[in-house]
Amino acid sequence: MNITKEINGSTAVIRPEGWLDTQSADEFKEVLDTLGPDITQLTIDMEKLEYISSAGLRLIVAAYKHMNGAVTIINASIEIRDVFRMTGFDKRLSIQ
Amino acid sequence: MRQGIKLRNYALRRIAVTAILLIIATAAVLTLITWIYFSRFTSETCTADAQYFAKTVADTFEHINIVKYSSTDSLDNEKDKAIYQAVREYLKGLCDLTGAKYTYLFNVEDERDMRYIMTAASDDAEDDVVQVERGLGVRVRIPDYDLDNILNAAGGSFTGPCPVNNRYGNVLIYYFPLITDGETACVVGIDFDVSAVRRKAFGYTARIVIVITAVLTAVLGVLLIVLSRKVFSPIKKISVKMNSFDPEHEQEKLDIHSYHEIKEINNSFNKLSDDIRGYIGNLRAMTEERAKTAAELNIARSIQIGMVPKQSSISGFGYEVFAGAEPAREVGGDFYDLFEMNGQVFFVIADVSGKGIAAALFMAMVMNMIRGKLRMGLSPAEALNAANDELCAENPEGMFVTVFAAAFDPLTGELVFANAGHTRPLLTGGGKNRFLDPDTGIALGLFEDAGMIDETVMLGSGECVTVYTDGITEAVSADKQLFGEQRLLELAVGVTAEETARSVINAVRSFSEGCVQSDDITVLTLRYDIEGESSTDELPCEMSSLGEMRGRLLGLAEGMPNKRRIALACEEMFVNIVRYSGSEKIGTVIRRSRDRLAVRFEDSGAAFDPLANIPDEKAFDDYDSGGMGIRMVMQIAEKVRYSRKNDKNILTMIFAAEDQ
Repeated sequence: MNITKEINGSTAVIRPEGWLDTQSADEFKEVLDTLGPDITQLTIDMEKLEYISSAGLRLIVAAYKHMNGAVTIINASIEIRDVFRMTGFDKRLSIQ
Repeated sequence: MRQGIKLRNYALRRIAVTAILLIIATAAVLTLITWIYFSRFTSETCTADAQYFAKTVADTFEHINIVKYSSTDSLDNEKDKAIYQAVREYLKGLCDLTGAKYTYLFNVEDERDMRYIMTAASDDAEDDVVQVERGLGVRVRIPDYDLDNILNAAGGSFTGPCPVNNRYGNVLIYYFPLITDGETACVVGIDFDVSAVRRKAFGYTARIVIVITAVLTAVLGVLLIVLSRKVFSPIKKISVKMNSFDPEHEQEKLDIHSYHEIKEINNSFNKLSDDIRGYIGNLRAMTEERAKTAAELNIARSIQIGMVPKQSSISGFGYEVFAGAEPAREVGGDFYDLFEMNGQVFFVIADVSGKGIAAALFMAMVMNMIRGKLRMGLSPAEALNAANDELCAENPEGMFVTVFAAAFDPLTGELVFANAGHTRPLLTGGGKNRFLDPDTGIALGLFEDAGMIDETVMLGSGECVTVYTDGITEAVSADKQLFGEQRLLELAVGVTAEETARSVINAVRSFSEGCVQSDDITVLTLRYDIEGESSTDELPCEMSSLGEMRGRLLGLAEGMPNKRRIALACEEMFVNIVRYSGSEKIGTVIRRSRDRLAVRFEDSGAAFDPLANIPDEKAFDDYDSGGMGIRMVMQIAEKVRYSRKNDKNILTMIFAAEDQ
């Protein structure tokens, strides 16, 4: 899958595109792992993300813990918001 | 009660009035007869008196010529005058003796006139007047009515009585000639007073009539009193008793002292009231019994209706089942059952021998028995064989039941069924209608070794299986024809299961129009319908197969708005299997029906039921450790089922098409 990363000072913006499933989760993990300790705010722009499975969700939880909750999700489609709702993510994550 | 009294008075009054009228009539007739009798009697007495008079006068004056005193001249001398007076006194005495009013002697002159010689009157007659008017020498013209009689008497005959009403009163006159020395000296007339005669007759009549009437009246009075006491009074008592008759309570019996017939009436009434009490008691017992029976029948019907609703349907992925029942008036023994379990559709249709409460109870028992065995996981034939064993072991009533039981897998279209003496199932919708001709076993409850076997048929999309009871094929038309299998084969049409079942019911209904439905009619139709299926080739059980699986899925789910959610659930389940099963291959069956999508994964790994341990909602922070996937599957799929068959884990998910 195609993932772009943009660092702006202490804020990182990650834009996964297409399907984030069990197979592509590793790629997503690799991108998250590249974020250094100087990054204090992570924004995941899901504008071009069509699909996310539990494998992706788990990585978001891990990132959430890693960033001490400083994770914001933006531009999530209705379908992906629905997945957040099913898993209760919408209660903890900042989804804009 | 009032009516009784009225009745009595009325009857007695009628009798009294009738009797009085009879007495009056009797008195009248009696009066008439007596009057006639006495009139005649007194008239005859007069004639006898007149004859006596005539004889006496004839004897006395046989030689004494009194005619010589027929002129006034002859009385000139004293001697003649004395004789004349003496004769007159003598005649007067005779008048008193015989009761005659007058007697007079006269001569007929010129055949038209009479010339009086002498007139004598009884004591009470008006002698003086008569003496002048009919005195010696008085000549008068004979009245026309008297002429013949007088001439007759002058001719020598005793003539009379001649009733005459003249100025001397209402009299009976007798005329006879007085013969002296062989010659007619003169004519003698004697007048008897009719009024006196009548008075005498009336006196006799009145006495007799009064006496007889009094006697009759007295008899009537006694009769009425006796009637009243002995007949009407007891009848009134019986009538009052009858009117106050109360079948609920025992009443004191009347003791009637009267004639035999009245006693009979009383005895009859007593017997009748006893009988009625007895009958009412019986009737009440019977009514209660009937109410009880009706209540029992209602219970039986409630049992039947409760277990076998008039119509019922279930549907799921790729199938719909519709069942319709038209119970006959009496509680019968048809039943059907349909339910879905573990992704399989089970349906049973049966016909219990007999009718009524026994059939209803037997039906309830058999239905529960078979349902229980199917739910235990037995195949249709196993379930029927097991049920047969139980029924044969204890079936004192000797009842039996024909059953068709089937299990249908909508994912594969496989219909497994067993037939215990039931009618042949009908297959429609696949072009030509035909009967499935299974190896039919024997009805349950008859023989221990029913030996049912499972038969299998693969249904194609759009095909319907219709099962029914013999109330369909054995329906009778007004002209005594059987509906039969051929009509069923031709008339079962319809796209949906309900249309097909109803087409059969309606065909039978119009066929037997005008006849009383004698047997239950039950029809059940299963329709199988899938719109597409993916390749069923097995995939290697590894993560890289996810794409292929998803490709097959999305290919089939094209156009479904929720296809990504379905893909999500399938991925989670697929990944789960790949991670934990240890199987080499994973079989996938993906099928789509009009409104649903079904996905089945099969693996030959160790038995593992992912649904057995669905984690509770975890704290968000624990989500990275897993358990999220299966929770999502449960939320997305309409149904998720796990089963283990033939050493394989079989996981089935059904997704409903959503309108998003």
